[in-house]
Amino acid sequence: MGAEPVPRREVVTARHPGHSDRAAPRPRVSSDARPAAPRHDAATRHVMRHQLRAALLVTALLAGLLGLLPVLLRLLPLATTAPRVPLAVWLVLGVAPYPALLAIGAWYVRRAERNETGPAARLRPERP
Amino acid sequence: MNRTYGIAGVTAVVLATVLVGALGLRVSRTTSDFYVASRTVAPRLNAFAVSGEYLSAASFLGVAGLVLAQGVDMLWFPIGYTAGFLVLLVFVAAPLRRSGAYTLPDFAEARLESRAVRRVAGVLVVGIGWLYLLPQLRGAGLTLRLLTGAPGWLGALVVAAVVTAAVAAGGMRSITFVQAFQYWLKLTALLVPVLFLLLAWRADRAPAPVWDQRPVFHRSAEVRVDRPVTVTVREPVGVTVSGTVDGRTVHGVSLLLGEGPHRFGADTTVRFPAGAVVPLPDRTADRALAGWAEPLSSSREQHGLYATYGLILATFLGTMGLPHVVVRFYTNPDGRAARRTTVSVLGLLGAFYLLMPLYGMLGRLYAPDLLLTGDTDAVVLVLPQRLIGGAAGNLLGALVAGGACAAFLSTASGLTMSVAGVLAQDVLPTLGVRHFRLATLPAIAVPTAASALVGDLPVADAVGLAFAVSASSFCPLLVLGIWWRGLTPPGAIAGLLLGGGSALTAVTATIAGGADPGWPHTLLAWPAVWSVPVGFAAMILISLATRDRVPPGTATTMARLHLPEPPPPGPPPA
Repeated sequence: MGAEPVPRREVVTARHPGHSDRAAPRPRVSSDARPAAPRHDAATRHVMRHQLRAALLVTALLAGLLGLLPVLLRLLPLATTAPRVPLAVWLVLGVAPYPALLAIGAWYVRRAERNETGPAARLRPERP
Repeated sequence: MNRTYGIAGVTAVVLATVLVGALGLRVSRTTSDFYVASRTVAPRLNAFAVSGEYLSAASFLGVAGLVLAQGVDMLWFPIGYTAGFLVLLVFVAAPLRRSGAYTLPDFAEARLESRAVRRVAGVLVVGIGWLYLLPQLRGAGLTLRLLTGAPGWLGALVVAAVVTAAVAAGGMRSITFVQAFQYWLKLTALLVPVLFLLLAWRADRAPAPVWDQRPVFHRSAEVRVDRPVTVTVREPVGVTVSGTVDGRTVHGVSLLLGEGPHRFGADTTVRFPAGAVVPLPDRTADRALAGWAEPLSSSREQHGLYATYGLILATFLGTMGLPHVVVRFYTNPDGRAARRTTVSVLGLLGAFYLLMPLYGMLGRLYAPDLLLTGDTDAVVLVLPQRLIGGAAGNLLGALVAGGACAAFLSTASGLTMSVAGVLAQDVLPTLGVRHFRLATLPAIAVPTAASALVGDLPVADAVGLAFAVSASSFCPLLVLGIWWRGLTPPGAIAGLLLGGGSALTAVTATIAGGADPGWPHTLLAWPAVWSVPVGFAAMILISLATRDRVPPGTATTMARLHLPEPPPPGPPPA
């Protein structure tokens, strides 16, 4: 039999179970809320600007590659040659999107990590 | 499907899940232990777990069923389910992990320093969770009905009971290993059968799937009607019937069904000859006839292009707000790992969804009778028996049944856990955190009751509705909260209520069947096109109008969200 006592399982939630409801208006994450140093703020804005640019680029790619596809498929005569759905349509909708999504995602991760560690981010002090 | 094999498959999955879960529990004795330990969960393992929890009954059963019934444009569902993670990756993943938020209400409170926003977010999490649970339970009912012949509501009830027991015992969600295991189980349960199915299809001289306007029985087929159904016969066809047809009870009688409507009673078996046109039930006749062949056709209630964009917006933007997805990001060690996890998820989901068109096409060839019974969601389950038969077919059928079981168990457990957590913490303040287990009851009882009440809604469709609500409420909250310093608590509340509320109202009306067919119905069934802009606009405009309410800690919070974590400190002095 288990010799060591098994601790009681407890539910992990954001607030500790011991907290009463009234004592809670202090959010856990920004509990150290204090005015940020101006230098800090500049660094944050710098990183945010670069990360947002990468994110918007990915969004534009997504909108261009996938977002226009419904209109394209409707405009091209491919689909109206029923009764057979051409293989190309199956490939475009069933196969092609997944490698594309993976490639875009991998590219974004590299770019985002460079934004955080590269020379551009060097002026940043440690985070609060 | 052979019932013994199917039941064996489901039982094996439940046992394996319990076993892997028990092993995981031995590794991490308390849940909090687990979460501390989980900060070292490698992105790869975490990605398996995220995918395992995310691939639900809608993915496993629903997508192939929709492709069978409505054609190639239904592949926008899996594309959206995957692309949603890309949007999540670029806008949300790392900052959300760095916020330290465990749930969406946590994030709302941390970013906006407001209890009121937290409560509104909590209500929406419950709403989305219930909407998402509904199709899981329907999928469970369908699977168990096929396996055991039990009525659908009973199957949903059984699964609800199993999930409640698992969650209340603290079992499922805390365990990364279970979810990771279930990803591989689900992938195997589709990948292995499809290889055999393709071989069988080749041996059948590889008939090209022909999508003319009327589905045809490629082979002679015996159709079992569980529930009474009225079908429209378009060409006279000679069939063999055991059961009730047009009010007469017959046993193994050959008769000619003339053109026009015919009614089959419950528990009736009808054998159709090869080459016969599948009689369609009145409910789906127009849909299946209108648009199988062309993508983006008028099949979606005559407004295909609008519906497709509604679906794209809902799934692309809605994934980030799903309660059970957000929770898993907390187990990443840091923001960078959260990004890497998400990229791996993109690959894992893609590998899974690549199989869906194959099941849809084979289903159209070999299981068109599902259109007759309306059980198109069952196509993945019945195909092994249809094409292979014998012991091999039974074994593969058991494998698929086990995979389906893993699909709805993992997602339903994750969702129930999330909803119960919010109910206990935010919505029912008198209960308090200690009564978490009590909260699992309403968390799953409400969708179980709803699934017994509402009519037939295809599984993947119902999931689309949950995505729409999430996209119109939490997407604006997360994107603006992470990238815009001007967001204020009143703005966030207005956006959540107007965007999420209007989408929730629209989908409730759709499920209740309140809207007239035509444009009003289309607008309500695919609300994301208008409700997402409503949510964003409300959040931005009200925030601008209440500029003096910007939370004082915004600059600090932003630095926390966007600057990388410091390298982990060494072990603390003892």
